[in-house]
Amino acid sequence: MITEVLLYGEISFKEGYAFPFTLFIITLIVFGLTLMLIKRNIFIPRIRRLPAIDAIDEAIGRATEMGRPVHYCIGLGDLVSGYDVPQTIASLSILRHVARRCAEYDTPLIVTFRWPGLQLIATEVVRQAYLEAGKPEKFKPENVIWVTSRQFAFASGVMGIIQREKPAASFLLGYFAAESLLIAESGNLIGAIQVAGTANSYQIPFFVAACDYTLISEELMTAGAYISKDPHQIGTVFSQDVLRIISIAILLIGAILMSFGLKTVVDLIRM
Amino acid sequence: MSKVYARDIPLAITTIVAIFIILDGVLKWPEYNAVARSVTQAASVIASLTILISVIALARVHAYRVIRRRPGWIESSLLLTVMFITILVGFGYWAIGILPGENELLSDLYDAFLTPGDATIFSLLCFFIASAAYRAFRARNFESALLLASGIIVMLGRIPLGELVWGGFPSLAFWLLNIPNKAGARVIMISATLATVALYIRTLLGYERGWMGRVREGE
Repeated sequence: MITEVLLYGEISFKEGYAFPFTLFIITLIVFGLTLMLIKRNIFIPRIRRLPAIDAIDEAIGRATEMGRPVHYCIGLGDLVSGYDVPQTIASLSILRHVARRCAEYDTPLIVTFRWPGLQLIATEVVRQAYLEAGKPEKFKPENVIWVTSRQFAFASGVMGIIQREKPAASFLLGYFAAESLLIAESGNLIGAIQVAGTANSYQIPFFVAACDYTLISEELMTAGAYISKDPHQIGTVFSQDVLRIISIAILLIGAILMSFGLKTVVDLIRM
Repeated sequence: MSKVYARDIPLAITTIVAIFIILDGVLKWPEYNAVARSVTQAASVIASLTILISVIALARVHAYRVIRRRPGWIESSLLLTVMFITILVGFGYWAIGILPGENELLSDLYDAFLTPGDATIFSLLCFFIASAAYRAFRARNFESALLLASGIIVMLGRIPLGELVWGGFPSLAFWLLNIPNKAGARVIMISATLATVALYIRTLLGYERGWMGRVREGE
């Protein structure tokens, strides 16, 4: 069948996808050039401070001093498809860092999530972090908890865990929807220091109101690069900024041309 | 564990599948699109199977707690009981043919317990919004004063009383929501999209490996 596809298939761009594909190629070129410059030590990228990430270690230290656990919620996200996947990937990167710190400080860590597929992945991420910290015997698989697949039952379960275990630090990082404030307010009620982050713009105000630190949108996705301090990873964040400038330029040119009744940019985008 | 097994093979699979799916997204090639659709469906089936793994893991964790009489064992035994009753009602009855056709008992369980439970938890949100808003809406500096003023205007614009006080509140609230608010939301959306592209490229190049459990840092 694959041979038939290659030999006899008729190929063209889907309507409206030629421009996005061209942009994708430009993106790859920008990333490739940046990484090449970094590899040859011609360019060393820097990243601005993210107070929310810096506060993670401080919050875990506080939990250690108080002799209370740390709670980490990955949220509703899965790793199958959609807007929540990158947020879940980013959250797993931060989870690894949090788990390693908890292992180093001998602080119990409780991990909660909604998608059952994360059971094995999250368990392995935390187990590996404990191994890296040289304390595999301290890892408790029963503390990596798939609560339930139903959104509000999940919220209820996480709220219960927060109320019973009284963590001194609660990290809510990943994809969250209407349950965000329920969970964040539960943490607030028990006086936990809270670091939250999501790319869901509807939930960001709730986190800002209820939590001590908030990672807004792209900050969540770049947190992994920030924690790693690896120049290559930080370089991809720089490439992201270059693409942002390109996007702003396209938006501005499009807006100016549209003001004069010219639809050139709009037609180009719809190609 | 060898690096090839733990890192290189999963990365290679991820990269190949990603390129395959990206091309399916942009190319109009019926035969190729059909193959890609099958791959996507297979991914959904694999994802559905993970619930089985999680049910086993959950049962193991809670059974361990019940057997060892660890703290919370009563709740764990309740969870296991409810879980197995639901599985039995949902699947067991159908499998042995006692209840052919639609399983009304399962629907009744769903409507009687889950739906009201969901509604109850969701309704708590209004109290939490009030307590969070109380903390957020304090004019401590210029930004929070601006937030407070915008919040009051939007609230007054959305209730009949606001229109009675001043007829311009609804249109002012509409402007706030649709012009400055939407502009800010779009900035967040565009930034998130660009960050997503960067994250995927980091993942495909193997820099971002948080999702790969058994790989040590620096490998």
